[in-house]
Amino acid sequence: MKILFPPLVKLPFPLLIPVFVLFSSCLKEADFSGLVYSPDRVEKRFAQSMEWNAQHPFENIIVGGENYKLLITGDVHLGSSATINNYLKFLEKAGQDDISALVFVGDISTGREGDQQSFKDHLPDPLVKPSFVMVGNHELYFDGWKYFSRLFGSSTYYFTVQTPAKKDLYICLDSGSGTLGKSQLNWLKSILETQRSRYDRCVVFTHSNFFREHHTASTSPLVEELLVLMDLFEKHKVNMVITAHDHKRAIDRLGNVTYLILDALRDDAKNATWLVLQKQSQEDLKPGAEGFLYSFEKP
Amino acid sequence: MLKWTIVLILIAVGAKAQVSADLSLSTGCNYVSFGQYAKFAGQFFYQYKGWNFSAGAGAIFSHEREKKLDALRLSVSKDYTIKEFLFTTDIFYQRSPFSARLNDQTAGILFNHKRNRWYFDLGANTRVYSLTNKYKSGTGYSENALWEPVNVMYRLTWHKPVGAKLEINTSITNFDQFLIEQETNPFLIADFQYGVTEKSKIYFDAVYQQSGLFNIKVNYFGYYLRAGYKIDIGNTPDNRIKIKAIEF
Repeated sequence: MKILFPPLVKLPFPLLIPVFVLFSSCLKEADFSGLVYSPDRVEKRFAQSMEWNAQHPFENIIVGGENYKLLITGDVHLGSSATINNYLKFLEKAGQDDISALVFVGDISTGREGDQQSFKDHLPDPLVKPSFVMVGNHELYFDGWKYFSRLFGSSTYYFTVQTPAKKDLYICLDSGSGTLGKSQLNWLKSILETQRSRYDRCVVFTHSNFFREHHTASTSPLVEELLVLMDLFEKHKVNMVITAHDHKRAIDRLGNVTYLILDALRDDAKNATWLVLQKQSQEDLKPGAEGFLYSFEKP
Repeated sequence: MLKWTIVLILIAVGAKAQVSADLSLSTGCNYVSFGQYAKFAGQFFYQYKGWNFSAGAGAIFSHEREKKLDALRLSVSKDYTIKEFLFTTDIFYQRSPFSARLNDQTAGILFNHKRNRWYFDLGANTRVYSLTNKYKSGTGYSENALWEPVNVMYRLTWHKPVGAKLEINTSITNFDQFLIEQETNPFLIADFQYGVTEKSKIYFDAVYQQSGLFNIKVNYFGYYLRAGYKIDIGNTPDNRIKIKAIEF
C-alpha cells in the first residue's frame, strides 16, 4: 500500500471508487492484466469452441420419464479457499438417481490450471451423469482459457433432453468477457430461428447476470446487447435464462422469460445454494409460465 | 399504429429566454448492430432564469432495430451556486422503443459541477424494460415489465481549451446522448469542439465501448463517431407562450 497510496490520493474522487473496488476485492483471485489486455477474447474463444463442436456432436440425453431434473450451480470458485465442502455436497446430491445432468454456469475455479484440473477430476463419469460446463470471467484469468478449452473443449454449445413424449433444448453461452460477441450472437440467433420450434422447452445458460436488482460490481452485458437478447428470447419463446456471477439469487420475469441469478456455491458464500430444475410436463402450460418447477437447496 | 405525440410548452414570462439547438449525426458499429448503423439526433434547449428545459429525439437506421425512433428525451435542469461553486441538477426521462415487443424507459437525476480543468457528473437512474402495449395485449402474460431500481451514472471529463476557439474534452462515463449503460460498463469519449461564430459550434466525438472491465477481462465491444452542430438560436420575445406539437 505504501507504493500505491501516494499516486492514488492524487486521483479525482470518482476515479478512486472503481480503483478501490477492484483492488480490495479478490486480490489473490484476480488477474489484473485483464484490465488492459485480454489475449483470449470472446471472438477467438467462440471460434475455438466451434472447432471443438465440429469434432464432438451435441449431446442428447434420453430420460425415461417426463419429469426429469437438472442440478445447476455457478461460482464454485474451486481453489479460492482451502476447502471444497459445498462442491462435494453438490456432487453427492448429483449422485441421486433422479438427477439427469449437471450444469455449471461459470466461475468453476480460480482459472489456474491445477484448480480447473481438480474441478474436472471430481466430476462424475460423463457416461453415467453428464456435466455441462461453461466459462465465467475467472476461467479467463491466469491464461485459464487455454486450460478450460483443453479440459472441457467448448463453452458455446447446446444439449438436448429427450423424454418419451418431447424434447427440450438447453443452450450454453460464453459471457466471460461481459459480452457474447458478434459471432456467438449470430450463432445463438441461428439456433433459435432454425431449431427452437422443434423443441418443447428452451433454457439458456450463461455466466454474466443480465440485471441489477441491487448495487453490485458484477458486470452485465451492455444495454444494447441486453435489449437484443431480451427481444430475441421473447421472440423465440425461451422459457428461462439462468445466470450466475453476482453470487446473490434473483428472480425476474418479463413476458415468457424467467431470468434467474444463482447464488454462489463457493465455501465462503453466506447463502450458498444450488438449483434443482424439474421439468413440469403439464400439457396446458400458460403463457409466461416457466415450464419448470425449481427450488434452491442449501448444501 | 401507435403514435407518439410530444407537446412542448415553452413559456416565457416577463423576461427574455434563450433557445439553443444541438443537431448531430452518428455512425458506428458494435457486436450487436450487425453492420454499420447511423443515427440522427436533435435536441432543443430553452433557458429561462437559470432553468433549462430540453427535449430531444433521435432516429436510428440499424439492422438490429425494428423501430426507427431511437429515443425521446425530456429534461429539466437548474443552475445554482453553493458557496462560490456552480452546480447544475438535471432531471430527465427517456423512452426508447426497441422493437415491436420491447420498450426501454429510464428516468434519473444528475448533478454536474465544473472546475477549471475537470467536469464532474454524478447521478442515478431507474430503468424499466417493458413489453409494448400492442404486443402484450395478444399474450396473457402476468409480468409485462422488469424494473432495475437504481443505477449510478457518472462522467469525469478532462477539459482543455486550445486557443480561443478549440476545446478538447476527454471523458470516462457510462452515459451519453440517448445511451445509459449500467454503471459497470464505462466507455471513453474524445470530444473536439470548435467555435465557428460567437453563437455556434461544430463538434466531433469519437467513442470507444468496451465490455468486461469490471470482470477484469476487457473486450472490445464497439465504437461510434459523431459530428454535430450547436447553435444559440436567439432570445424569445417577452411575455409569450409557444405550444408546439411534434408527431412521430
